[in-house]
Amino acid sequence: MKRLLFRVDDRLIHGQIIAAWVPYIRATRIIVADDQLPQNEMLSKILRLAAPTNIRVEILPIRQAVALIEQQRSGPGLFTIMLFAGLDKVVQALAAGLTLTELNIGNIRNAPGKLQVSDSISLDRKEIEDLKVLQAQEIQISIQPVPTAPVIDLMALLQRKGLL
Amino acid sequence: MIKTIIVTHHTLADNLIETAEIIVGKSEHLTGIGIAENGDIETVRKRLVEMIKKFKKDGHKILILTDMFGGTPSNICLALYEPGKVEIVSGVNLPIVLKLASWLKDENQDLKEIAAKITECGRKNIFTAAEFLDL
Repeated sequence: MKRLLFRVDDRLIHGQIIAAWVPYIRATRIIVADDQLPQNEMLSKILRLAAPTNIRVEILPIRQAVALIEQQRSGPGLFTIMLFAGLDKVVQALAAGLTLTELNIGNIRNAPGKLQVSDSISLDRKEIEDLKVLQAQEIQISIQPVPTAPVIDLMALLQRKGLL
Repeated sequence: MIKTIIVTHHTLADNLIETAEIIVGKSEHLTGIGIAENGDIETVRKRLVEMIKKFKKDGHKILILTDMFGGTPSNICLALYEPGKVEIVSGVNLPIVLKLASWLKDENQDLKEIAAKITECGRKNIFTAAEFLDL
């Protein structure tokens, strides 16, 4: 049973996380790794409010978030969901020393000029390059919006679509 | 006058309004915004901000109803909270929308009061059959 989830989700703490992933992981802690967010008091407050009251929410700059998770990877009462708002932040976390074998991709928003690759994921060129960096580190990258949804290998999907 | 914007996941907002209008008739005070699975939340945020700006310019106050505390619609809306001008209630249900459709016909409603009344209405309208049927 998975007790640690690393996820890219531009909505950060939201419905799918609190209603589906938190109970599945039996998470007691959510770490949001982001260099801008800790300075935005209002957004940080809303994110903290969004989580169930029994969940500890840590909103930390990437370097500090990585240090925390590497120091307390798991253990009793430390089942953790670690969230990144974008793929670039995962690449930065790797550079900061994050050990990562599996990465869940939740939501990456659509925008003009982006290519929609699944219901909840749209990518631009830069994001595909970021994915290649992660793939080179032998990280298993999967699309899985909620735990009951099938796991789809994102890189295999991109390959099939001729995007790699 | 109070304008109500219902902000939800997927199409729930529009469905709630359509359903309410079948039951109590058209209401010009209800607007729905749904956030699609692959929707760009920035676009939704901008649309909301514009809508609120317009309503305020026309002299209205705004009541925002969201579907679930902690969800993206609620997260976006909480940042728009302005005490007495833009109030937010999360956990919208059909009884709330029905009540609002009739209450909002009265032009002299106090926004804070309506927000409190509607919250109570939503809570009070959840029952188990056992409360009535078990003898």
